Amino acid sequence: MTLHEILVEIARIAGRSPPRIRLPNAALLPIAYAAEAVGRLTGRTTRVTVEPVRVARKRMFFSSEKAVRELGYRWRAPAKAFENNGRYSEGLSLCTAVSISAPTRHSTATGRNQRSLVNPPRACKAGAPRARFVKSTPTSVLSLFLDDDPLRAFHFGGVARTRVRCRQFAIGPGAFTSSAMPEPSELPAARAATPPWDARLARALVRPLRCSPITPNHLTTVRLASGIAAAGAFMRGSYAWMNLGAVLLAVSNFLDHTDGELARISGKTAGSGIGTTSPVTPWLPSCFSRPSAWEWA
Amino acid sequence: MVTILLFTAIGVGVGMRSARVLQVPPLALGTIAGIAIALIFFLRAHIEEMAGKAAGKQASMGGFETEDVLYLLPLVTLCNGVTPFLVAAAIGAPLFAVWVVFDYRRVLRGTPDDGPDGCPPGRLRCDGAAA
Repeated sequence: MTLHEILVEIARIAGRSPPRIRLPNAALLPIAYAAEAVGRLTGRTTRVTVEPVRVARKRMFFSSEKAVRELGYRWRAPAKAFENNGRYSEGLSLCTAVSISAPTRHSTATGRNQRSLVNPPRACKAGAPRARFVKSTPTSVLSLFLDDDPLRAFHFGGVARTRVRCRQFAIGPGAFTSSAMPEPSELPAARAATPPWDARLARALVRPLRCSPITPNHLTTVRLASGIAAAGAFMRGSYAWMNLGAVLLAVSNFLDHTDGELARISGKTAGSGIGTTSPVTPWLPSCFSRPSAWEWA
Repeated sequence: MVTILLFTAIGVGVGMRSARVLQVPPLALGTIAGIAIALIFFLRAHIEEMAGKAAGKQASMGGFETEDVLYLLPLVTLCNGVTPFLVAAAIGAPLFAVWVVFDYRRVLRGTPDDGPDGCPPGRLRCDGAAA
């Protein structure tokens, strides 16, 4: 079966039109290198990477004779395998989680293996977000359980069993082709979950406010006030005022992270959808600030 | 709005020193930069809503994001470099906004990375409920 035939079959299963243009491998390779470089820079998935382009050039032959003889393996039509693989990938794309664990060192007992990787927020009051747990066992099977839909569980062999019930999970099948559980730092999910330095600093600074009466809306209001003050300082035009405006702008930019972090670690949320709902700024139109900035920050 | 206000204010401030920069009123440069940056924020927020947080993620390296360049503004003002900064922002921000518009259109159309029925990755359903 040629690569073109495979692609046509996959396109048919996906309900998309098959590729029509055939590009020489030598022309694709530089594009793949460039795409990988852009992907590294932007942290986004690229449409083409170097390894598949290299592999696409090779003719590969396999025989399942030994597996049939010694393991009783029975092969099935490639189209069926593609369909199953499509469902598997679909499952991965549906699952979103923040982090993933390394396998635990000892014990097969479920209770002992269960541990929290993403620290659940200590509830100061009702309404805190649900805790995020990652359960791992040394049985080396990964299963992902989706939020609100535990029936959509996916098992794939060769790695640690992990139960994930959170959001933001960026991971692809390629991460689990090894028989050993990759280190958390090697996982795309772990990289994706690492927030920028200012968000980390903001989280550390707002942690003491977790159980205080200060809400994310208060911080949003301060952010807004410092932004407006910065604009006022810039308008004066003199050297000193420009400097003050720049400092205020940097402060405002930093405060932009604090409201989201406070919301995340304390479980405090806005009463209504778009816009700030601060008691200080109820008169502000929703377009005056970024839409519910801290809710998606 | 705050972003537009900020860059317009920088334009006003620079305009008090020099009436024209590159034959253009600084106020116009500031407004252009502000509107472009506001558009970038707006579209990124929508991309994030539609395709998940990973899709809306901006370029980053070593824990620094693109917008972190604003932390360098005090250094720029200290070196009296507000005018070049304004010019760079008025040119660079619209170009970046164009790129984000293309990105936004790509997400709107749906990509081969999408799940079944054109559902973007990170979404359980396409009826507006996030995963």
